[in-house]
Amino acid sequence: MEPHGKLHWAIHYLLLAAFVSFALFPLFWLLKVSITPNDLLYSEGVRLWPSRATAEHYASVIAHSQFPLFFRNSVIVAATTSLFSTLFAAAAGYGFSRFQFRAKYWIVALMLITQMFPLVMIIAPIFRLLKPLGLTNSLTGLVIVYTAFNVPFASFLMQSFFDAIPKDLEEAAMLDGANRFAAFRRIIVPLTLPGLAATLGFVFTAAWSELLFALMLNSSSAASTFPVGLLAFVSKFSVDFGQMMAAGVLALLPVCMFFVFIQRYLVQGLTAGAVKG
Amino acid sequence: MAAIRIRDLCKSYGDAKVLRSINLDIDDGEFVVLVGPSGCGKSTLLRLIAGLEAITSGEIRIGERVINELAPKDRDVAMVFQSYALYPHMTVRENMSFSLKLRGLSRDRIAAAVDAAAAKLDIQELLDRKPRALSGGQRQRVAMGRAMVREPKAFLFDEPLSNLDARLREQMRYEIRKLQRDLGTTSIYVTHDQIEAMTMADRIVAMHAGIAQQIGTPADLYDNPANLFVAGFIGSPAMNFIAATLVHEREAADNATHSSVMVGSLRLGSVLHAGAVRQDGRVTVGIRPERIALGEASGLATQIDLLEPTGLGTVLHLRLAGQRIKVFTTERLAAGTKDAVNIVVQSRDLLLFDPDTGVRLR
Repeated sequence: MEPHGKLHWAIHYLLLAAFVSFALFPLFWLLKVSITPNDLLYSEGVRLWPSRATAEHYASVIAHSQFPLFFRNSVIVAATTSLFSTLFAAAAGYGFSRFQFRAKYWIVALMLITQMFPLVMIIAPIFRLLKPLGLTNSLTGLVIVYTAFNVPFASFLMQSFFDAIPKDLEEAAMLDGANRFAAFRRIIVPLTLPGLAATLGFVFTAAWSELLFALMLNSSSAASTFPVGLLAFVSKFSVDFGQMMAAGVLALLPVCMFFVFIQRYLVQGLTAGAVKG
Repeated sequence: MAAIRIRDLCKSYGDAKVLRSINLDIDDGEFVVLVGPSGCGKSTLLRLIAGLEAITSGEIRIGERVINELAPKDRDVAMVFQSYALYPHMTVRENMSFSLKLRGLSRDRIAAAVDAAAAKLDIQELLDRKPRALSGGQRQRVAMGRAMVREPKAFLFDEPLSNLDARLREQMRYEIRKLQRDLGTTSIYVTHDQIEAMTMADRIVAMHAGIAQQIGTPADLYDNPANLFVAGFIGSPAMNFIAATLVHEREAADNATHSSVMVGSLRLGSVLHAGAVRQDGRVTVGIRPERIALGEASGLATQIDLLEPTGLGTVLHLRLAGQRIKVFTTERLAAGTKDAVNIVVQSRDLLLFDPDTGVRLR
């Protein structure tokens, strides 16, 4: 370490800590409100921790609201969307990375154009398209729309991961007796796991927290996802902050679990040692 | 093992012609080196043989079989890449087993083949490591091992030593050559390093601008270069090229002519040549730096520009009638920069080239 290593270290971590606490404070507030009893919510003023904690909001969200249904819907939609998007994106990204073909430029340009419009603009036409197909008030409809909107960006993401893997590795595999698909499956996919995990995580969180389409396309509560469900805690005359926050904390859990599951792939530097070094 | 026959092979990328009508016969068990500057098409030729690029026209045979349209996996050739291209998520053992596993060999036979190759390359203790835990030389060996276990019809080497330091390169040069001799596998080796080409090859293919300029043994290319490119590329320090004029002396038998080689007013020697020379007699004369002798009073007077001691000897940069030439000598010299020194050349060491086309005049 350099001479003023310690001071450097201290400032480094101080800045990191400042940023992390700034970023995480709303989450802390979410947790704090979710365990504050209703009678203390407005009476205690601004405090970092309530004088008395309770689990009553959690109990009533789980037992007496439709939240478990919304939760289940969200899991289905986010999981299916992330799976399909990542599969399509991996295939497209591999094509962009490894092959030269005539329409490549135009396909990439078209995919970029789909990312240019604010979603509000296209929500009416999409509704008109899905309605006669019976895809409104349906989780399938949401999965299709989410997948369509996530594939372009996810494809570019996957392409950058494929680009980072030397072509030599595939060629070596192809000379070793693999066809292109076997080389892809046995050499490229294992090396792209961090990229696949990142893409999966990115799409999962995007689908998990999406509100606009979920609200506009699905009006029945049977096909609502949890962001829409959270709005149910806002009634005409009041907002039930305690239950809303409790539901929010519960909604965070799958995302956290998901990232715990994939983080070991995210941090792997697998390609080290593949080529010279 | 098999012979490789290449007929009228061409490769273009759009309008850019990368290879022009390559013809090459490689015998079973032969070690052929493709050498040339970067961009000469040597790697492309190797990739065409491997099947990693599509052939524009022509034909490649391995053994009796035309392999033009065959997928790389069906050509039964093994390649050692410049980057080694070891699979980073597999151990050394898995890297070496991969091709055998794809062929569906039994576990026992794979283990036996891998162990035998590892013993031959002295890498038994590395078998359970991942590539990232290996040094450059070790990776090189594993890449060799991966090629060996398959017992392919031919080995293709794509500049396999260029990522190693000089000392290791020298050692691996020897090891690869020795291994190939032991195995007797037909090999094609691509390099830009003429020393590698000279030391390793049974035959060298000197390439430039997509054309095989000359194909022959290392001694052939060194002593009898077909043109200025080969003469200048092979050998270090490089051959001297001197602008000179031929002055007719007398006719000899078989339409040959004796001529004096004149550099300005200096007479370098006398040559016997049969071919047509330019009307004005201008030629480029080539002479190897180590074929020029120093120091006799009767020699040609020159001046020393610079001395480069190499340990083995000294390279003298001289001025001869205004032209720069190099002389290599193993003598220990007392002379210094700006000193005058006399040189002597033998007429038989003078090679004549056409100054316009670069073709050797004989």
